[in-house]
Formats: sequence, structure tokens, C-alpha cells
Amino acid sequence: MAESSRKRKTQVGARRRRGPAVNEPEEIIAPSQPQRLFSSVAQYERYTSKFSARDILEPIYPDDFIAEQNFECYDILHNLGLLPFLTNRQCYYPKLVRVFYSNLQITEEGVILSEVKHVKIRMDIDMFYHITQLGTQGSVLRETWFRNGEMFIQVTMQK
Amino acid sequence: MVQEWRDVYSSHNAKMMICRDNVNIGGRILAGQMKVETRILHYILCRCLVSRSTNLAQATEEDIILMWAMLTGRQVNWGHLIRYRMKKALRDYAPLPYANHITDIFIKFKVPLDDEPFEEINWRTGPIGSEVIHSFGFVKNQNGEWIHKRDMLDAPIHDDRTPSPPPQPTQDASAAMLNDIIHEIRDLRAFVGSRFDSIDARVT
Repeated sequence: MAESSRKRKTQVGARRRRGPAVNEPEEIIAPSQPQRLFSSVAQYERYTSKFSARDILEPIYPDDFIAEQNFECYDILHNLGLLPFLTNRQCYYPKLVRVFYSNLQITEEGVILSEVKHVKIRMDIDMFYHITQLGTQGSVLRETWFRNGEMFIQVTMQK
Repeated sequence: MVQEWRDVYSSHNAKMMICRDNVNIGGRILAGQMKVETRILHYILCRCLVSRSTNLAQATEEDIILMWAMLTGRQVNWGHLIRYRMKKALRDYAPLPYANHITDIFIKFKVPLDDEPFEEINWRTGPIGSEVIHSFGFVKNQNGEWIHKRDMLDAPIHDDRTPSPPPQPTQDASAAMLNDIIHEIRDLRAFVGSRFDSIDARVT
């Protein structure tokens, strides 16, 4: 789909070039686009080669209906402190999301590093908690294996 | 903690907690075999928490452990799990999760957003509400309980005017297996239908 839209843009551009000379906003904006979003050529190249056409998982959220129907699962999510995260109804910025992931690194300590529009993002576990409201306590599921139907799970505690 | 999880967890018991009473839990667990509560929980788990785009119609072993932990009130470090999921999205061609949460990160770090194109969460496919639960195959009965349509169809019809059917031989294993296969085909059909709906919604 992304490929076909790219093709469409190329065809439109080609038609315009053959037509009368007019101010073409795409051509004026296009060269400044990398500088606007990225602070290095390497960032831009990584984005164009690996992330610019990525699909974005459409956000969804539990509707009030789930609460109104007194579903037990709603209470479970409430008790686990997951509702603030799950009921986030923010809009999203598809292009910037791709830029964010294109520059994303997550360290062994759980620190999130990225850069979007020249703004450096450095988010440690505590800041991640304040933004997402997701707890930092509990078992960490790193790897899970099953052997003959028995769980062989490695769980470790983390701050 | 590690030992406690290992000692208490049983795959069979976890599947029993998740599935309806009359389904075969011998093999893999399909979403269509779950109770209404666990079906919603599974949907939220694999669409919102550990977001993925494929394999939504069945519970992976990880899904089963996480659902068991949630149902038994055990704390999972969700922050860690979601960061791990974000890291996995860096693999080639993986779809990108948590787009709306990333907006909060942009706001926190004052990324200029004024002239950026944005999208609202789709009002039709975004909320997990009554339509989604109906699409799972659950309907409310006269007592206000959510019942799977299949269980309603399987239930005997109490009608005094209907003559009693002749005694049937007990279902043998092959008949039960055939039943399972038919149920799985129905699940797959419902799943494909809902996927087309969501594709349709994206296109329109």
C-alpha cells in the first residue's frame, strides 16, 4: 500500500513537470524535510530504508461499555493499575512515530533513547512510569519456555 | 517469586480458567474457546498491552501465562514488558505499536507538534465495546448473562410439544474431533470477517 502511494506521488510529480510551470509545494518542502525531522544523514537514511513505510498498529481502548456491563475483567485491569494506560485516547502522529522508532534505542537498564525533530528523548524507568502509569514492580518475564507442558520460566525482580 | 510462580503454575489449570466448560483444552487454545471475560482480557492483552497484528485468534503460551497472572492477581512488570515489545518492533517490517502513548512522550519532551499531520483513534474500530463483544460470538441471554452463541445452539430446547429424540449412542472420539474442526472453521471465518472489517475501516 505504501509502495502504491509512492508510485502515485511519482506519477503526479511527473505529470506536473510536463505541465505549465507552477509553484509545486512538494518540491519546495521536500528538500527541507530531512533537516526538519533529522539531525544527521545517517538518521535520515535509516528512516528511509527501514521505517518510512512501516505500518502503525492502530490504537484501540476499552470502551465505557466494558465498565457499565460490570465485567470482572474490568475490575482486574483496574486492580492491576492498567486502566490509565489502556484508556489513553490520544491522537497520534504517524510520521513522527516512525521517526521515533527509527531513532529508538533501549538500554539494558530500560532507558529509552530517541530523537524526533532535533529533540533528544531520554526516558528512564521512573519517567516512563510517570508518562505511561505502568508499574515498575512485579515479575519481569524475560524468556518463557515450555517443556513437556510444564512452564520453565525465568522471572527476575527489577526495581 | 520465581519459585512461587513455578510451583503454582499449571498450563492445564490456566487453560481451564480461560476456556468455557464444554471445550476441548487438549491442544492450542483458540480465542473462540474462551469465556466472555477472558476473551475480552485476551483481546486487550494482544491488542493494547503486548500489541501485535497477527495471531490474534489464538492464545500463545505467553498469553496464557500473562492471563493466568492477571486472573490470579499476580503483578507483572508491565513497564518492562512494553519496553521489550517496543524493542521487538525494531525488527525489519514489524508494525509499530503504542502510537498514542508515544504522543504523550512527545508532549513531555516538548517535541513541536503544531504543524504535524495527526490521526485520531478510529471512532468505529477503536473502542472495545458491545460491537466487539458481539463479534466474538457472545450475546446476552434473558438473565442478562453473556453466553456464547455456540453454547446456546448446543443447549437442548425445552419444548413439551417436541417428542423426545430416540436415544443416541454416546459420541465417539471421531465425532468430537469433527465437532472441534467445525467450531475452529467457524472461529476462523469470524476472525477473517472481523479482519476484513478492520481493513475496510482503514481503507475508508
